[in-house]
Amino acid sequence: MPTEARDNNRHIHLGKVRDPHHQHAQRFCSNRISTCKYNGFSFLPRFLYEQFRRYNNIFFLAIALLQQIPDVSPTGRYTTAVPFLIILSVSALKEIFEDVKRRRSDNKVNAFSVEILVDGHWIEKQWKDVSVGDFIRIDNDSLFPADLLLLASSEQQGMAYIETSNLDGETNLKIKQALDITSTMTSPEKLSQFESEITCEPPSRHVNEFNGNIEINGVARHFGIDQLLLRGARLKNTAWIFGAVIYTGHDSKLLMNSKRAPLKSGTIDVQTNYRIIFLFFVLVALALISATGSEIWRGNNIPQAWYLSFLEHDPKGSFLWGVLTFFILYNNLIPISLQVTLEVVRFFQAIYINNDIEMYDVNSDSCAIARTSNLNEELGQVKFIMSDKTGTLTRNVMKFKRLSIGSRNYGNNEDDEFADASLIEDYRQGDEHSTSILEVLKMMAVCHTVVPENKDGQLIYQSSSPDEAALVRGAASQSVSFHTRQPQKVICNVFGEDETIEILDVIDFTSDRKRMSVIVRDGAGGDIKLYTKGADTVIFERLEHGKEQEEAVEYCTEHLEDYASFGYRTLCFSMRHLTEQEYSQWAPEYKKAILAIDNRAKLLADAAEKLERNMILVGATAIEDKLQEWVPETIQALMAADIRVWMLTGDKRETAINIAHSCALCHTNTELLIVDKTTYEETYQKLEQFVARAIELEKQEKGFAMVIDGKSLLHALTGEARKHFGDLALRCHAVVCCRMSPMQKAEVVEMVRKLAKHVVLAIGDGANDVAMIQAANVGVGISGEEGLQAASASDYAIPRFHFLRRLLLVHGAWNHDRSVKVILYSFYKNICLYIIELWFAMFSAWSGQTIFERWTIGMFNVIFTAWPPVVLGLFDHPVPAEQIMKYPALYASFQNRAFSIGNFSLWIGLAIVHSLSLFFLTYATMEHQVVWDNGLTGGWLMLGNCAYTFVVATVCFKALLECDSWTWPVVVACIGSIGLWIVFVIVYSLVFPHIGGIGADMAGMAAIMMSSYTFWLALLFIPLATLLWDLVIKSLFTIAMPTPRELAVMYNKRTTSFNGFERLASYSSNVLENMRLLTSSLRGSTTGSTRSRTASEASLALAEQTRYGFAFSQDESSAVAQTELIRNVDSTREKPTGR
Amino acid sequence: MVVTFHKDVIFNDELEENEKFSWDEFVHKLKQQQLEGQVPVVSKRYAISITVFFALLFLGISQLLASANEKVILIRHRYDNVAEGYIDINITRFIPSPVYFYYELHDTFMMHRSLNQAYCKKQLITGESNECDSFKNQNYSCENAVSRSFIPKMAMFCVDNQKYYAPVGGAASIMFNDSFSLTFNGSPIAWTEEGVIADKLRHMFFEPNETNLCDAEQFRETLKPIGWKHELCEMGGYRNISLIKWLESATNKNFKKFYRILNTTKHNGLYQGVHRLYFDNEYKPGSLIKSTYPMKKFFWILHPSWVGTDQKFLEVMYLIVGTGLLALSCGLIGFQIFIMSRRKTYEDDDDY
Repeated sequence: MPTEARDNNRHIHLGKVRDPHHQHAQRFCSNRISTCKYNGFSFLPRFLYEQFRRYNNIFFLAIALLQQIPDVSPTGRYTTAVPFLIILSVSALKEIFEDVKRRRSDNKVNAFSVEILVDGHWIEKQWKDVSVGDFIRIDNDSLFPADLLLLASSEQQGMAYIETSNLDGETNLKIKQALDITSTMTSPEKLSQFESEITCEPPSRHVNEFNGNIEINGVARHFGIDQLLLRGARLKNTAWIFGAVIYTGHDSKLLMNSKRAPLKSGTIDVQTNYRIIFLFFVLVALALISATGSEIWRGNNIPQAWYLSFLEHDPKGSFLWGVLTFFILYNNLIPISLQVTLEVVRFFQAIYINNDIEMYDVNSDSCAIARTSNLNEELGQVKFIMSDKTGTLTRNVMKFKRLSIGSRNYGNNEDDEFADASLIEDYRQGDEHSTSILEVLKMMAVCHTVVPENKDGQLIYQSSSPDEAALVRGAASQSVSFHTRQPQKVICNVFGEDETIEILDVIDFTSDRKRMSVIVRDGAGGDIKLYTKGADTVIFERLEHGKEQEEAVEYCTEHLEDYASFGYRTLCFSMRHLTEQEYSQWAPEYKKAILAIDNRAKLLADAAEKLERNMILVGATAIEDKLQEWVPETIQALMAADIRVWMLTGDKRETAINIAHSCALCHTNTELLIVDKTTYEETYQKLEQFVARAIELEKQEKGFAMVIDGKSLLHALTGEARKHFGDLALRCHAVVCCRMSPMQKAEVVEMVRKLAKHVVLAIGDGANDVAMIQAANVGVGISGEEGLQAASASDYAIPRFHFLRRLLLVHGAWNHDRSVKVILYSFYKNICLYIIELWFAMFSAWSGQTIFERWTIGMFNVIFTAWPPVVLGLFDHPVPAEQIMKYPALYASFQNRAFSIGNFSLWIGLAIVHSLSLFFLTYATMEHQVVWDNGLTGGWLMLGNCAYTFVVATVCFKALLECDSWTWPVVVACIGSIGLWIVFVIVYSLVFPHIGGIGADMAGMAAIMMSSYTFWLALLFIPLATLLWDLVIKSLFTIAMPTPRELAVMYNKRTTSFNGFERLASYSSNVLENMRLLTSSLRGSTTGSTRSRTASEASLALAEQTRYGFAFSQDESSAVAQTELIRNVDSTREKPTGR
Repeated sequence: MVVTFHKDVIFNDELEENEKFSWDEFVHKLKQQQLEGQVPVVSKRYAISITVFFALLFLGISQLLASANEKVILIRHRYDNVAEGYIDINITRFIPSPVYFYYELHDTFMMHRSLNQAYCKKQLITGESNECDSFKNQNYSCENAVSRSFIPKMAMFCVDNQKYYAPVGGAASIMFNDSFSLTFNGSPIAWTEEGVIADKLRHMFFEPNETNLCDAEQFRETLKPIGWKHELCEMGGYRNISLIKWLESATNKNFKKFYRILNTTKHNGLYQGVHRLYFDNEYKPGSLIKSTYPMKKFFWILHPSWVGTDQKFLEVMYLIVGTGLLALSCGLIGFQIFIMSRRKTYEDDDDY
């Protein structure tokens, strides 16, 4: 294909370069990635741009500029500019520090090793050295460095198993297959001679769509997504693959989807901005009021004071000038250091999260990571948790646990895997029961799509279905070992003897059929049998009629109910003997259906239906989808904290409900409201019914949960049904959404956020959850692969799901309480000091004269009272960690201590009252002015500095009063701030005249102030008198109406609390286990009654069906069909080494 | 009931625990947020302890202040409404040394921002008047008086091309200039300016080398402020104690200034009897426009206590707050005895 102008397609030459100009003309993106924000040249402009996008920074810049106007500022020219520069410098250092961390992370990823073909040899290089058109080799269990075209692999026909959990969150293996014309190139010699031209689409973010053509020796072949190996995926169960690089670096699909997470603002940040805007208008109002007072005073007094008469004519004495003067005087009502204080506090709060040893995972050697510190307090306000299932709640590890054959129930729940010796003992008795045991084990070993592989003398099973692999391993552990697969037969070692079983036909599994069947022949010329495994409902319907089968069904149903109570995934096994005539009559019809073009699915189903009937129930199995550690205990604790937990999964409904039970999301007595309609009208009616039902259940105080799948969700989120769905969903304590696409997960999160106006937390483990995580208020990722960009979409990363408990209940509650206090306290202390200027304006002729020395005004926030809010934000423990872990309801009570308008008004009111008390008490005390025994009189700064001292003391003691835990940093910070002011006054008063011109007003002021006994007596009285009433009111409320936190603290003082999370988790686990045993005992009393297999109502039947844990995850539309996989795999062939 | 105070407990605990900490253990506790601390839930026992403690403390301080106030002897007379030029002051008991004399002015405008520090520091310290043309001072310059100054009739005081006041500024221009003398049985009472200000502070101000200050270069082209009877150089120059005292800032429209101290080498106090205070009531800063001016003038004779003058306010406030706290603690105790005993308290609830 000739190159055309304006061709957007990508053209890649593979193999030797013949045309240097052609190679030079096409330059592709480098595989080096960079997520840095700044570089040496762009730091200053970009940093300043970001800083001055904030309103408060623009405000302080305006104040600093206004102060440069001569004779307007009552506080000089630099008292805002200097603290502002200090604060900007602190923010700049933080940005630099964070960007250096990003650069290190990027270098780590770029330095991963990979083998690239150079002159016929594999050379180990780094990821950043990969270029488009390179041939690279990937070994088993390695990540792909770029988007690759699969050329060949160690498996037959160029098949490769990959795990795409980092891309879409699915941890089940997927099958990719190379083109047949390239799959034979299994050595570097062949590959080095390979030449071709590739034409493919330009880079795009769609991970499931790809089209391209490869031209080899003039023949063009199409290849698609089945041949593309995406960056970030991992090679699994395949020794090696050869790939050609198609997309590199930021052009790869992973990087295109790994855009920087949107900058989220917490609700507290938003509310704080509103408060600041409110204070701005208060500031403007105060300036206008004060300027008006100045006008009134001038009108009444100027004629009597000739030496001030110039104010009547001078333009600088005008009303507008007065407004500017008072605007500058009062500008510190808005705390200049609030933003930087919050950033410092949040930064160290994030360090606390990162260093929490209770959230350290020994196995993966990883800790929790707070990728952003802007949302620390959001963790304390979470109301809804949206959780992924696979990889987040479950480990994707299947274990064979229980087995039911006839009336016997084998296995127990305590062992990690099936280890019941009685199974073998029963088999060796040689009766009819032992025949059933043999048949079940053989079916477990035969009826599947697993491929065995002998690796270093150890048998390894490769499968795209973890259920099947678990069953095969379970059979192998019971001496029925499947070890060889050939296109037409399998070989099993049955109790020490190899037995060849011929596979005649395979009837595929589909979600509609809910079963899979194989037709086998035992040995040469042996009996023909039909083996079927599937859901209990579909199996029971196809059993032969008779008393014996009804009895078997009774036993099996009893066992299945027992399995369901533990959330196991169950399968029923049935078989049927076929005669030669019966099979020879059916086989041509089935083959004809396979080859049919029209109505193929229906013909296949009809043909299968003719054979899958009159079967004999042989047994049932139970597989445990192992959960992550402490998942049920964690979910129980979160629910006890009044958090609604939702499970959003792309898996099937039955699997989702199983996990919901085993996770303690639902209980056996929880009523499930299942929405599974396929049309809008039906969905709407169903939702309407369920809303009414939910109201009834709420009156009865009965738990209920909703189950909805992706197809129904499409209708539920549109039109008028959305309101009903939202209303119903918000009433449920748990919601299970199955068959969800990633975008649907995000839509659900958005809907809950809008309808409920609550904080939503989304937790997932892979790129499949990125949209959900980014849509939520707080996104939490389960940290898996190190250094990958997909995980960077989350705001927090924890190694295990159960660490979410500590993240929310301890760090969340603490951070929220602390941040609220930091903000309210910052507003309080600023208003407490600077509103005094308003009171003093009444006594200084509304002239704008400041009561305090100019530099002490600016340094109030930066130095003297900078530390109390920081230590409040870092070292305050509202309640001990063990206490809140034990009583999660405290988390809900902390949410009530919210950053509300009422709370804000209370603090502002207290600040005003305190400022009135501080100013007027000081003024009255110092009014006589003769406060020394040597007869000297005080002046302006005597009053000002005394008031300043009392304010510093009061606000520091206020911090102690509001602190819930007096650790030594808190005490040192509060007392030290007062001491720092005293030291500052002493030093500052000695500056003039040694340092030119600075501090003239303060010369000798320390000695003057501190030599007065009145000062010390007032220092004792005025702060205590101001705060003592706060203490009294607080104590009265504590005595009469203690809050849950105070009750918990008082209780904790009398008893020894649990030490550590493990003991607490063990305690919770014991409680849960006892609950299960009790439930089983209660259910046991009802097993004697006769159960009918048919239900009178359809919905009841559906509910009954979902209680049984049928689950069978199998790729239905993979690159290689199930039948072809069985027909083509030959594990006896020796694999090429690829070297 | 034992009174406990949380902060003391914390400090004691911290002192003990700090000695046991190793650095690694300290860092570990800091990172894991496991620092030991006191959880101050203000339950009833602590509330009662705190209120009783502060009640007793405040009542004690109130009595201390009361005893100090009893030692204060203050005689205060208004003289601006007296036409005779003297006031007879009847001292009813002996006033021991030290005895301080003050003048007090009411309803002034010294608290205005334009008058606060409305003087030229450079002129006061170096004597140079060239750089004193700032916002607060430019209206008192004779250069371009008609066009620049907004003070009416400013030009009539500018004679002989003299450009600058000495001293410059609104505050300096309206310096207090009344004089006083005190006699007892016809003999003058000796008082002194020594001790009114610190010598260190006085020596910061400029003093020329010439014996006759008016011959100094810094005073040749200066003009006395409006309303002054004498040139500054005739009054001792910039080191005039009255001037320095007057330039100290005031934050009240009613203020007093330190005038003189009784000379202890000649008198050990003021004896009982009638003393006569002579004054000249010439200080009228508003007289230029001849309007009614409400300023009042007082003369003080004070023997202070260790807290200074009579500190009645703090005494009363300590008494009020202390009494209030005492009443509150009694109320809490009564509440505890009569009401809470009938209810199950959370602290004693073993089933919680």
